[in-house]
Amino acid sequence: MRYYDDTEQDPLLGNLVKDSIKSWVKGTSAEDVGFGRTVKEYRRIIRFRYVFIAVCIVVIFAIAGYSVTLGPYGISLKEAYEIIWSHLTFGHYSDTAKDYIVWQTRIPRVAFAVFGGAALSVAGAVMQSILKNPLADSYTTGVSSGAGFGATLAMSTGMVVGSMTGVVSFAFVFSIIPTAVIIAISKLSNASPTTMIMAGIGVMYVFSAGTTVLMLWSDPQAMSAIYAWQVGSLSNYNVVFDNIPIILVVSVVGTVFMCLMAGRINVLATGDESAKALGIDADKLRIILLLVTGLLAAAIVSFVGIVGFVGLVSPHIVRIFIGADNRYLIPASAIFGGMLMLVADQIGRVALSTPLPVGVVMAFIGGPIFLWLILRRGKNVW
Amino acid sequence: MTVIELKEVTFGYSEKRPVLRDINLRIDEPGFYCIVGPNGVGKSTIVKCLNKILLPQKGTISIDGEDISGMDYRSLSKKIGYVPVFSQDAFSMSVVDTIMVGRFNHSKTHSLEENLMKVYDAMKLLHIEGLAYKKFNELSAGQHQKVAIARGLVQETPVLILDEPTANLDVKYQVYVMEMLRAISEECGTIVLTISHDLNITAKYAHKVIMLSKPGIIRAVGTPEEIFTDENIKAVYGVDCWVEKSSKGVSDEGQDAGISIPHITLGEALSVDEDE
Repeated sequence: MRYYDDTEQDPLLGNLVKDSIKSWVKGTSAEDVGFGRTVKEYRRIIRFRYVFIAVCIVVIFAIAGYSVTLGPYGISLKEAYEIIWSHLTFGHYSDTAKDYIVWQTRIPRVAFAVFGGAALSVAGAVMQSILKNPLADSYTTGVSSGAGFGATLAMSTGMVVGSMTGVVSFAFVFSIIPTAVIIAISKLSNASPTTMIMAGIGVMYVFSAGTTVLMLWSDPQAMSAIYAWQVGSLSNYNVVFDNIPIILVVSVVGTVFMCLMAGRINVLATGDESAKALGIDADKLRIILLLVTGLLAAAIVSFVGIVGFVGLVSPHIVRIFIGADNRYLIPASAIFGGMLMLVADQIGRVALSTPLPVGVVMAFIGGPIFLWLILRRGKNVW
Repeated sequence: MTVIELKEVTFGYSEKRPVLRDINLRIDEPGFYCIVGPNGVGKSTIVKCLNKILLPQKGTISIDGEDISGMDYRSLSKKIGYVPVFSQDAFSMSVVDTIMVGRFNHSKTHSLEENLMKVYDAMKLLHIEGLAYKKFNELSAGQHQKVAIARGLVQETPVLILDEPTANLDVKYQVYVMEMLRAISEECGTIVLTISHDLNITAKYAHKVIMLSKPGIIRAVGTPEEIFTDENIKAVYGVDCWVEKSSKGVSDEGQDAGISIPHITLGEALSVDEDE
């Protein structure tokens, strides 16, 4: 049955539908001008996204190069790269003092900034997409406060004095609890994404209160250690070369996994009902993703402390530039987040005579920039 | 040929108060089907059960003889496309990317160009190709609706379900979309199932009307002229009206499918107008 041949002219619309249907059934030819323009624009936008990612990578390398030469002990860029090269080729560098400084303190700092920032941003981007909430990050899902409680517990009770590994393990174990609570609540009550965020905030308050109580009970020395941890910093004892493999594997595996899931995350972001109709088991996928992002954020926060801002804001900044398509948003957030954290740490190191923790710098500089971007782009980003 | 069958389907959001009671329905030929009925009677609920968004407490739903409760979402999504009631996304992509999400099941089997072409064709059909690179959230409610319909179309399923597809559309596109859906059902041999509130437009374009009434039962299934009678409308909606039948329908079987329900009076108060 040919609709457009058999049907009389519609008294209301004339031949509008008939003509439209006719050309739809026939399909556009590849030579169609309008289609050509659409494809060209599509490719241009994708090219722009790659350029954005490439620029961030270049910035990372430039800042990282500068970073390894920075510090009270003068080491030139050439020397720094010779040292790195000698390690990569399993050689030996003659000046052991310089070798130690570059390899054991400066390189770890750069690596933690880049991989930590990347992992926190990926976690933030994915949490925001799957919970459909621009405020979702490791704070509002309770991960940070869980880690904070765990670390405080370890330090205030003196259970693990002198052993930062203990603090990391405590922080990690407790930071998984909020995610577990959110997942349990969503399983029990078929919770909507908003409910899940609210559950996260609920858990966050409980843990914060617990942390406060522990701090009230602890002695001044433990207190200052706790405080330093809570601010989030890249100059603590955990930022050493031996810990790089952990943070590297966690952030690379996490990011690659999320990139592979990005197409599905796009479907999930259209809403649970249409996601199911498009072939995605929305509830199951959300829980899996929440679990992985929870672990990702927990691993990083346990090492570097509560670094806020980067996980919340870098996905938003990236969206402003390249849009909300998760297939590009996730890798770009990783690179941008790494860059942001590295830049903030550099500024913290050189801005004042006393080094500032990376979290503080990020909030001071990133906050106003973020507000400016919001003002400039209006409400249309979200 | 795709066959959808509901057998004694009962669903309630709570155990005690079922929304749907023992629904039996069989759709075994392509066409444009409209579900009508008053608010809260379970129209959207039926549709969500068909998509396995809701799971009935009792009864079975099958597509091509296969019980959907045993199917995973992926295989179901190859048979049934669904356009839910408009929802705003938290983070919006461009119109092209938003519609492209509808090609999810085809993303591995088709090239980017092929998928883009399907998206472009759908945009052109709905006259929104000019909005291709606008952000979804920058659009009006009616434009959102057209994007959502386009996303359903590019899924290319033998069954397409739309929940109130004309709700936010202007009068021209209300007519356009309804006629378009009818045309698609005929051209592509698709089962198109919609929920509709505008009885006049439904009467004009639907092949079959499924009329629900309280408390969650199917009152009647049939052609618009069989369904839209004074008695049925009075019984289901509780409004007095008269139904005029005209011969200016689009039906190709020569029947009087054009029905207009020109005057609906709600009890006594409005019947004054009638006398004037």
